Amino acid sequence: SDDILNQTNPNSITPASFWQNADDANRGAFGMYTPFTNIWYYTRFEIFTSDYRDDVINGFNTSERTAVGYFSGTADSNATFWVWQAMFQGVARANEVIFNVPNIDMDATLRDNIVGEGHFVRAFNYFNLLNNWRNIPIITLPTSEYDLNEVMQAPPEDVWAQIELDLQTARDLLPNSWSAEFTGRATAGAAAGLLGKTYLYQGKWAEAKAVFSEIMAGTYGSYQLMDDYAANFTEEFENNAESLFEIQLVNDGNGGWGGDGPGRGKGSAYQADLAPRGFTNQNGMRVNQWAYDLFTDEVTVNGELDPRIYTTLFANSDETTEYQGKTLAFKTFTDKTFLEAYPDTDLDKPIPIYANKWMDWEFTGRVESRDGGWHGGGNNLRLLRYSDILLMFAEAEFMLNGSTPAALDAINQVRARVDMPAFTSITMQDIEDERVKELTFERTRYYDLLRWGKVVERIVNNPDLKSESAGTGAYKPGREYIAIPQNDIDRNFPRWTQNEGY
Amino acid sequence: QAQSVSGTVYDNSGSPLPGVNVIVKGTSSGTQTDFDGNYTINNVDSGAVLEFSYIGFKTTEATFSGSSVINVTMEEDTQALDEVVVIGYGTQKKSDVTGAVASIDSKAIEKFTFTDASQALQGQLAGVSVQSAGGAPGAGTDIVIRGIGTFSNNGPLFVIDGVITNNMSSVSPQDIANVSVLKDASALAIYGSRAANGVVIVTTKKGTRGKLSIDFNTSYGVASVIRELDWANNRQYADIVNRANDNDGNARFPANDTQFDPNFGSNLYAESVQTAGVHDSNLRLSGGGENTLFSLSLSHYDQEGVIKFSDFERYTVRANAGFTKGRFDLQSTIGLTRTVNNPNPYFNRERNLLPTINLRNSAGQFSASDLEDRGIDAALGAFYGPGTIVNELGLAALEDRTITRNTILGNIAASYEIFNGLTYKLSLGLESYANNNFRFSPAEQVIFDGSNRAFSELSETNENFLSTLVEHTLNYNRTFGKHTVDVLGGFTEQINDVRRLGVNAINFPSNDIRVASAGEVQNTPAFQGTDAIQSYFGRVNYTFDDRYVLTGTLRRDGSSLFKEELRWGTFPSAAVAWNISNEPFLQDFDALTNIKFRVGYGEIGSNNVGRYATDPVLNLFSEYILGDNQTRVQGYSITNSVNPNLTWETTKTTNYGLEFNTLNNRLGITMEYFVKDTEDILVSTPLSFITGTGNPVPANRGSITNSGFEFLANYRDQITDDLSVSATFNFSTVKNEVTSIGDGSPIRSGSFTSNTIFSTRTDVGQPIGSFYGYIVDGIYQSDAEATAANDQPGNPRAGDLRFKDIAGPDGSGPDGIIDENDETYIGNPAPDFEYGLNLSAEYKNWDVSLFFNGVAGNEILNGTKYRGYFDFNGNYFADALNAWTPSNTNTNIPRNTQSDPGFNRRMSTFYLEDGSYFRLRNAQVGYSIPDTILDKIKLAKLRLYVSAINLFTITDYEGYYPEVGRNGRGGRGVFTRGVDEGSYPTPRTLQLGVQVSF
Repeated sequence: SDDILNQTNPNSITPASFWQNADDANRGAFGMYTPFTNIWYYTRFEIFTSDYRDDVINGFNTSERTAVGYFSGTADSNATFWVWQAMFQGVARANEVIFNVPNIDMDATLRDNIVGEGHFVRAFNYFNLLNNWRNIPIITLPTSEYDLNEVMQAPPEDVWAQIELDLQTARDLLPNSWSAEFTGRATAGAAAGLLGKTYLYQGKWAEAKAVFSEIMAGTYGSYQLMDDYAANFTEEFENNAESLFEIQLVNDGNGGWGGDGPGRGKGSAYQADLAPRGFTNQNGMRVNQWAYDLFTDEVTVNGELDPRIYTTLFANSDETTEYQGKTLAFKTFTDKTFLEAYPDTDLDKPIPIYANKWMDWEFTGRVESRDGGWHGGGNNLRLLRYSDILLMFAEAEFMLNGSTPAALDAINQVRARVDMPAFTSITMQDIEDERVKELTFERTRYYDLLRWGKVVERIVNNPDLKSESAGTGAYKPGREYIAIPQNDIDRNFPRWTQNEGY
Repeated sequence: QAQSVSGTVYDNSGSPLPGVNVIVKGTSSGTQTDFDGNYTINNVDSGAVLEFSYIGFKTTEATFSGSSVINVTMEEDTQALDEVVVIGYGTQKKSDVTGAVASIDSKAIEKFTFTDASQALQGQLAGVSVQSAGGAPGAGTDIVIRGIGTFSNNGPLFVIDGVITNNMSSVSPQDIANVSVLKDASALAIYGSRAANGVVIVTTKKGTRGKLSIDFNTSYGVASVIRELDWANNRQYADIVNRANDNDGNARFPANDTQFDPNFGSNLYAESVQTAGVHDSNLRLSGGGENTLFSLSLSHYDQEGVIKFSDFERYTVRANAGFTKGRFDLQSTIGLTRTVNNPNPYFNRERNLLPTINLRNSAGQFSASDLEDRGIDAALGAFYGPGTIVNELGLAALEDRTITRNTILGNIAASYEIFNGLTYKLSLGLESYANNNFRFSPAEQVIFDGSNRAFSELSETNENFLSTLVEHTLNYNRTFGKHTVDVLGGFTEQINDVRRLGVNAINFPSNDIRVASAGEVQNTPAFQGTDAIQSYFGRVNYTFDDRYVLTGTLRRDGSSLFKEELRWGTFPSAAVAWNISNEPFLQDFDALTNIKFRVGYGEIGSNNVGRYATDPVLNLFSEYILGDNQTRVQGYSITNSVNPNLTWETTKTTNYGLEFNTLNNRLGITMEYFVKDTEDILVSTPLSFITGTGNPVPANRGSITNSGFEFLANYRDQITDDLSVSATFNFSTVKNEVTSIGDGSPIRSGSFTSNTIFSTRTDVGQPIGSFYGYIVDGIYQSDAEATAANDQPGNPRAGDLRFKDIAGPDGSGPDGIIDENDETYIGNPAPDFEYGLNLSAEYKNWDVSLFFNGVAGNEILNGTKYRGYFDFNGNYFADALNAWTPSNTNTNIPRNTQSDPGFNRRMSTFYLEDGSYFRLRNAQVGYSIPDTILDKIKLAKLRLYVSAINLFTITDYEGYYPEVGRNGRGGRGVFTRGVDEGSYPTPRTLQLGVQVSF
């Protein structure tokens, strides 16, 4: 009989039978976040397309994965398509949620919240895609609803508009907070913060200011700076009062990490790419001298170094700073000073500067970046903090009205938290510098330079900033953005065009 | 006057021959010899001629001239033995075969020892390329018949005593009577949609009628690695890294510099290899009566690895029986196999232990750090330098890995001759296995430090597989005068069912407790799958006057792997053969005999698709962490795109064959030329990533052409009564070219490092998996020269590799910039030709056989060079000391650097080497104890032999061994051929053996 030839997959359910009830809506929503923990996204690879491209990180070594960091990425190299792919995973899953959940018969508030999450996740990924690849398609329906052959790249301004629209919707639908069992899901504050950032990136200063003002006024819940700057970078104070959105991570095991599969590890491994030499098995990086110099060009109200430098960097200096009842000093894993870690340092030669942020060795006791397993970083990755909101507000206000008391107040809140003297007037340079001190290694620096139009001036024209790899000789105009993955150019040929410079 | 005649029939060796047909010529009276070779015929007229016939022996006649006793000795007919060829669903007289079929029999197999029976085919058959996946005990093989005609990983189909399966690893080589490889569409079309990659038909040994024999073979061998690589010792390593650090402007690491201590160091590779034992035994009882045949065979194979902590053991029991009564015939073959494989997956792995660290600590335990012993308080990496610092030998020793499989593979075939020439046959086949894959990694510091694992962990998977095959065939075979017809029709159904349950658990209370329930169960991956195929097939073979042969074949397959509307496919073939020597005009032409010309055309398929490949399902494990307590939540998502419109790949083959004998039938020549066009090849490329699914989705859109020439020469001569010699030479060449990849991008694959550097590219106009990269053009001698080269991927300095500027954008000539336009095809992993030569001679009681084989014209990517010269996470080659320095400029090794700003490590000709080799695969000398002695000790046969496997190999390849298989990092796919990341070395084995027959 022919019956035996009709075999259906008995191992899972089909998409057609899904989206029936509130449980399904929640499961669909959780699935939208999974790509963030993909190895190709925030648990590791994204760092090569963000911070590794900025002017702070001087990555050791040439390699396929770091090539975009020295403008040598190609359309078929790893960083190009892996990260793109993970981001579009998020978009596609959000589209499923936005498309299907409204039709589910369930509690209306939860339904709205989940649809709002969909809009947030979609906008969040589009924000990243736009700022990395610029010429991307807008997809707002499930893949099954598309004729893929008809998808075009959209003008960047249309993508901006889509991101704005999504974030406005998300802001209106999302709750200010979730119950304790759901901490970590997107909130109205996260959506509003990213909306303000979206305006800011486009130079829409007034709109940006308005949204940031609402956040500062507590419209989306109460956000405030943590007393201790370092609390933003340890497992001890995850999802704290300063955090608008962070990637939830735990160190849980042996298995492969990221991705979609039973028991996949949900910890991060990018620490191995930031850790000081000798505390990682990866190529690693060092910090360019200018960043250290910038941190040290002013002192706290007590005449000491900016406390943030100890959290952010690891350098050969015996400077200390009294802060929050502690004596801060340059230390790395196992509480070692630079010369304890590198006893053979030749003091007559330039001494490298390394990173310290995110390593969290003080709280977890990790002795090196992979201690506890390859993806042993259980430290949540904070991607939008209230201090950034304050700095972005200051920037928007400054661009609108100059060095006003409102702008000064915002930036001075950030400075006061780390005992830095208040500004009495500011320039754009002050704002830029403050962002480096506050936000280095938080996946914003490169995009700041990009939106300020300073990639060429700051990076390309200073090949020494990439001296540990291949310099900046491979730069061609347009390579501020990453190449569109060859796979997608080919799949969408001839409607898609490659980015300029490739 | 008529009287009765009796006598005994003997074979050459004087043993009585039972079952011999004895007839009085021209009459219907006759009989068969009994168990002791005796016969009696009544009423024989004087002058009558008795004809004695028996398969495998020359028909003998004797004239009755009054003596009532006629004893006959029958001679074996060696030519006749060869004349039956095993084909799909039957056998054929060699002269009636119209397709390309190659075969070997037990003689070429049973002499030697093989890990996997399929290795016995290596170098023996023209057009059949067999590569071991390295030399590990239990290693599998990659078999490619007439070039790769697919992008999937499918090898040929195997038919073992009628059971259709995917490999022959459950068969003991000692049990094989014959292996027949079907190569062209005319021979293959009877297997339809599963035949495109060729079919290997394995027939196991049956009993011999009347001869009750007990044969015992045993051999013991010692294996050792042929070649070791020259890795740096602690001093050399320190010098290399110090120089690299100096070149890079980085501080030296204490362990290599101020705190270098010659007392701390290891030679991991020397410690990892061992001389290993190989033991192979087979006991076989066989025989048969007038109506029965049986063979019971017990085999045990036990192989230690030449790399420590790897071994393989196989037990097989094979019981074959046959029963014939009148028109009824029953044949059963049953094989029981148990294999226990303990692989060592850690040997030669990227990022091994630095040679400045002892393998064992002062307490004698495996260790990955001497910091404690040395009383040093430092971070491992800061003291020793970057490195994963895995003690791979320790890992291999401490971890517990066993893959156990129990297999039953058997077939029962009953046939009944309904009337003369028409036979119905019912064949019931079964393959069933239970597989247990067990791995336990204990809580050991050496494991924690060095790898991804942080806890003790157990992962165990049980899999149960059942395949049932039911075949009904009707066969009509009849000769009418000069016309012979052989018609076959059949229906078959095969159902495969697999069910799998696994468990992963961590954090065990003790390293001695190794069951999942004792740990924290993390997940229990499980799978259920069923697939089925139904087929109708038919074949007509018509022969006229032994001169003209016509074969037509048709198979219609329906497969559950495809959607309903694409499910059924029809695979036709037709072929003709012309036995020219049987033409009257060549009757007197003796220089060449048995001349036959064949030509055939047909279409065959390949159903290269996994179960449920056309069904979209949700992934139920899109997990995330939420909540104040950071709890894992389970989400659902679509992670895979599917193409519902999949169907089989189709191969259209045209084959021309010419065969003849010469030198008085001592030399037989077979030549084949073929063109194989494969269409609708599944090309897996991701959809546009904007779909949110990154999985490669197959679609039937590629095409590949293989064309080739095969040559087989067979020489056999009885020079004197005491001396016989034989030689077999085969040679084959295949040209492989991808003719379409649909609208897909060129396929990049073949990475040889965890840092992902693709080495192969598959595109239209090139062979599959061609090496693709930059051409090394020396070394920059000055910084100025390096800067001027304008190298985009790198920023080279003096001492870095110079890569050739060959093209600019749009294919224009050199443009003064080195960039991706300068990447090109730099090598082919497929040989230009392959060949094998078997020589054997017997002189009195001595026998010698030598088997050579080789390949020529292929490139191998020596991935170990990446580790030996570039990767800083493990040891270097000692030769890295010979790197370029301002005072050592006459070298081809680029300067020592760990930051590698010139990107020397990119894919280039630096890694490629000539993969040609010629080797003495097997050599054996045997001595059989003379009969005069055997008679006294009551043995039928006693033979002693020594043999050597891989006694010598002539090659320029600098890796462990030029037989590298396919690289595991790419899943052993066709795109990773010739990529050698340091595959398990193929050993040289010396053996002593004894064969006894009672």
